[in-house]
Amino acid sequence: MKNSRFRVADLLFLAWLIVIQALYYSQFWGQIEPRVRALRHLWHS
Amino acid sequence: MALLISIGWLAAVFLLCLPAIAFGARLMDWWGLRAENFLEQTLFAAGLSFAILQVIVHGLIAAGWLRRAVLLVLLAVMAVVAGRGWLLIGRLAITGRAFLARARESRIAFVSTLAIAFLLILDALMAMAPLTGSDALHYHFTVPLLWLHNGFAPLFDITLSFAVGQSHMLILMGLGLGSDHIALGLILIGGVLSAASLYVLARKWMPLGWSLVATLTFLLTPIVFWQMTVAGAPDIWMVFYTTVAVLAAGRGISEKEIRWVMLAGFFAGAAAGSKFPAWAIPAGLGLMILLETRSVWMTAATALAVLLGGIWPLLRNAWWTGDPFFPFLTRWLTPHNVNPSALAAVLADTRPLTKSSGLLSWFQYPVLMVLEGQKFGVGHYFGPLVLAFAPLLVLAWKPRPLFRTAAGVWAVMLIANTLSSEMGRFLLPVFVLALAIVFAGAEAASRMERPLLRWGAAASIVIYLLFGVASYAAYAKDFLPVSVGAEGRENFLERMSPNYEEVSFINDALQGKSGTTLIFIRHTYYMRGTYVQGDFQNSWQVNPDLLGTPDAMLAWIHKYGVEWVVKTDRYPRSLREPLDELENEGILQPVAAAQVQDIYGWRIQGGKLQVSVQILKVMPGKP
Repeated sequence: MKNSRFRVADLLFLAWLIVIQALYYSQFWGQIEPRVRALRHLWHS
Repeated sequence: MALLISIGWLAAVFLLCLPAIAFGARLMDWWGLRAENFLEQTLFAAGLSFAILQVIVHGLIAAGWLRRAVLLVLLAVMAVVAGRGWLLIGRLAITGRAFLARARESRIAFVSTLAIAFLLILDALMAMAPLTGSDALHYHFTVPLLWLHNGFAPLFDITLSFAVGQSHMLILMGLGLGSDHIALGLILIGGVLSAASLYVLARKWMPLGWSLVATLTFLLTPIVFWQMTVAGAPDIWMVFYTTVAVLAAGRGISEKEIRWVMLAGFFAGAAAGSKFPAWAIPAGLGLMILLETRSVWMTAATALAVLLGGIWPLLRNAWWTGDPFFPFLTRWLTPHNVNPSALAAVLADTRPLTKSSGLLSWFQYPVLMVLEGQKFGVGHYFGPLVLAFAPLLVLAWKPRPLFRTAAGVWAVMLIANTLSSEMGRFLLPVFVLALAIVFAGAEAASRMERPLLRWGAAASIVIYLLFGVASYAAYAKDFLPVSVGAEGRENFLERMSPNYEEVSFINDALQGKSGTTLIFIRHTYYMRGTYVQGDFQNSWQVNPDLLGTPDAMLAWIHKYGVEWVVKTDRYPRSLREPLDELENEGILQPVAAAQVQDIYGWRIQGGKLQVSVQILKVMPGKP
């Protein structure tokens, strides 16, 4: 019983980590996106 | 050649630090204060010495005695008085060798050590780039420079000049010694000492490898490498003083030793004296000392030491304006001195556009500060790890005074920040405490049989370090070339320094001409000659409500001895009408004009725009 509760807590923590970091790094997409587009353009040309 | 010059400046800064550390070590010996290891002793010695130097330099500039010769004599006296204190530097070198031997035993520790060393070398070179930071060009460096050249006096035309604090005295010392590179180097030293203090704090709670990874994380955090290299702000010194204050307080509380808590108070005072919001640090520290020791006497002694370390800017401001926190309390202390437009501009600069209130928003702030940092004083520059690891705080807890003090100071600073400004960057002084505590949680999780916790935390750190490397590279590519000689100084300044081309044109056009120049430019560090700021956004002495007519504007121009007016594109909206009218009447007559380029937005984003600059002469009367 105790072990299963801990597993739920671990999964919740993992979900928290993923959500927080996804939201955090997505802030920078505006700065990264033009570079990605430029690289893609370079690749296709 | 530029690389050699950069190395030369760095060597000068390094040599300047040695007598300071030795002197601090001697003081520690005299007071019978011995830390647990030589590195910690060195940090206490350096903190003590530099905090004392700040007080002395503030005194010297106030007395009008600040010159290079006086500073050199001061350093020489410190070197001589240091006596046996010099032995600490030798012992530190021996400790360093022993550390390297231990670091080789663990792959993570060894790789982290190499990465830290490599980063510090890059940091050092980057810090030697010419000054281009926006706030630095507006007041962090400009105000000390003006005091050095024109004497110690209130600068009401730079409202933020009253925010110049104790750690700015290290900038003043560098400028007084003859170079802004020394001042920038001293800022870098603040960063290096902060990183070392994080390592020392972390080592008390976690093994070598984890401590080094925490230190590496700190150095790769954007707000840290920005502040310790190219920002030109002395804020990073607050990080160092706060951390050594907590280390000293932890020791003082454990041993109920008044000398340690007084040392902690002196460090907390040095941090608080650097920036108004940092007064939350001694408040938090004092509270923790009172709660932990239950001794009013020890708390009072701490408070006395706080005042010795940091009261000086408040006394100066109170003497000049009647408001120690000028202009933030002026509304209540000296209401007749209020300039409503200038006050509104300062307040807008120190809080987010949409400052919310209420219980819910207080809980949202620590999250939004990280996830929408652009709206909350660049809170995203701290990275996501403190927030992401927040649930691990339950595992981090250690029932010891040092941990409780660190957590208490962090909490008080966070609460004060939430209730007052909601500006993430003002939390920089407690960043080391926060990072050490959440890493203690991650380290505790790594020791449990919980693979999800362990691998989740490890992957988060690795991802963040990669992000840090990419951010660092994005910054370094603009600043390293000039330090190593791959780019010329003028070209670099034109490319990266806001308002530089306007200022260069004004300097050339008015060279050899006397008289004060009225300007509407924020970044004036490179400006020569006498000038006065004309925009209420920067200047307390411009009240647009009182300058609405050409006559009032002309009277103001005569009052401040203005003989030249610089018009950049158009006059500021608040003064456009009276100044345009003076121009139409022929009282302001154009004598020179140019088209220049200027930086638009953040310098790192590289936006440029074309600006027309016109210099007008103030004629004695209508033609």
